[in-house]
Amino acid sequence: MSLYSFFIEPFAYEFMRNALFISILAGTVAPLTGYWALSRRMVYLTDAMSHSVLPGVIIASMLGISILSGALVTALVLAILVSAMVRKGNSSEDGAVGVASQSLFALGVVLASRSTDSKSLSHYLFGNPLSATYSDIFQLGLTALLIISLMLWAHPRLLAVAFDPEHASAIGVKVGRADAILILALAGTTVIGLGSVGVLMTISLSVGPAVITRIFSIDISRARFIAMGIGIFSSSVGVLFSYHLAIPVGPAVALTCSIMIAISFIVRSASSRSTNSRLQVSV
Amino acid sequence: MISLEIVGQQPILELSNYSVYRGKFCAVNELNLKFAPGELVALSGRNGAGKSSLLLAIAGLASFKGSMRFKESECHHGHHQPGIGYVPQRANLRWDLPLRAIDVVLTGTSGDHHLTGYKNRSRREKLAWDALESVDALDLGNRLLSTLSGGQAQRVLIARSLVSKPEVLLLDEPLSGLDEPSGQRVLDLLKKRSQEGTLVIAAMHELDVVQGHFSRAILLAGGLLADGRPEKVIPTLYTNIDQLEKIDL
Repeated sequence: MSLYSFFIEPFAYEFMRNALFISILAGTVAPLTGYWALSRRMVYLTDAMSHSVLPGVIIASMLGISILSGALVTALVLAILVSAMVRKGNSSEDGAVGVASQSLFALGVVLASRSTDSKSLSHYLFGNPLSATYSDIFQLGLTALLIISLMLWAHPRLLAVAFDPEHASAIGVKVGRADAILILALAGTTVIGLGSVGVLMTISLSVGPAVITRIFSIDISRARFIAMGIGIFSSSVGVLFSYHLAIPVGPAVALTCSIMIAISFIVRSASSRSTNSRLQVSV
Repeated sequence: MISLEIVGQQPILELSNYSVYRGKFCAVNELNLKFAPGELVALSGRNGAGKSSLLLAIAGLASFKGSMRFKESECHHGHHQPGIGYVPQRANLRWDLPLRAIDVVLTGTSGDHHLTGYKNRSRREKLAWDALESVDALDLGNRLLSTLSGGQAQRVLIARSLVSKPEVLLLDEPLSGLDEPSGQRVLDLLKKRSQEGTLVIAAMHELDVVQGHFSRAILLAGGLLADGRPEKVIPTLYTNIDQLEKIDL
């Protein structure tokens, strides 16, 4: 197979170009919000949220309203349920997140199985960017722009809260508000992920690139943008492999991300070993 | 009880009938204290005596009953005071994050809404570099946190508080885990701040250091046991051992 037929030929088709655009959108936004989720130790919440927005998205789709608003409402419901279980039910936070998110996810699966919507449950779970339309790209593009702007605007406060919430509070940063901004952005990211890699794989694209920047100890000022680059690369390569190997796009992107993490880990370990042996020789 | 009267100086911070609460638990009961600018004050007492709780309450992070006046203005619970800087214990922070020292100092400007946003980035950076310079840590600015020693990390945290030019600096166990030279460097820094007019209040376990370097010691045991010159107050730690045993957690 020539390089042309591997890299260029697939994009002669409109549905492949649309799939690439929408996957790149997810690959741009998810690593940015995922980076903060990792820094704020909210990875489990991110994963739970990607599952729990399903009923809101399906109801919104059935009612013909914006799926972003459906996702945001469900994210709010998740937050209220978790808060009530922690405060009134003496539950631990991770226990409450686990129970509430899986209940909402189960509700979403039931609704999807009853829905007459053309999108099947597997589209929501594993993504199907091949069916993306120009309208989807436009709407998700606007959502992506909104999330990126929000994250850049909130950067100083998010950083202060991630490193030391107590001190942040002492200097007047509203810690709850900063976390709420992050949770809203994560809910929006899930909606974008829904259109490309699906709810089950969004977490890979969110956290994978951030983990790679951590493996190489890249400082936070550069790491966010490098993570976005890794996300775009993983999405693009995943779409290509999905075409050539005839596999779903979501898992292809998630596996590309995982392979990159494995390669990064091997490179880092080899580099550390080589540095250590040089040090021993010089001693 | 030994107490210190501030003579001829207007107090910058005044606590009256001041009790600190952690939830429903009263951690410090009915304090009446006045602090003048430029004092170097050590809060001493065993674990659970209320040192950290008192610092948190003054910083606006714990609830209190009674009155707290800062520069003659009444303070309210939960409202941060721009002129009060707080340096928490190092162990409680996220040292695993890939931050450079300058990034940490920059977070000290995050609460100032006039400064946040990319428009003011260069102004914020200048303040942060100036603060690093003031703690003699200019060379650490671009180093990742994970590569800093305990003493260097402590100086970076102090710089983060100094970025807002506080008139009161609160520190929770600033020497904890530091070797002697690093501890001495931090102490010199605190002395310099107090000589420049900043009220410095630090929770301290190192009694010999308190006696050798601080101008005033306050001994806590859920309330006030003693307040005065360290050479007079520290011995009361031993004479009040029964009271102290009761609050040793």
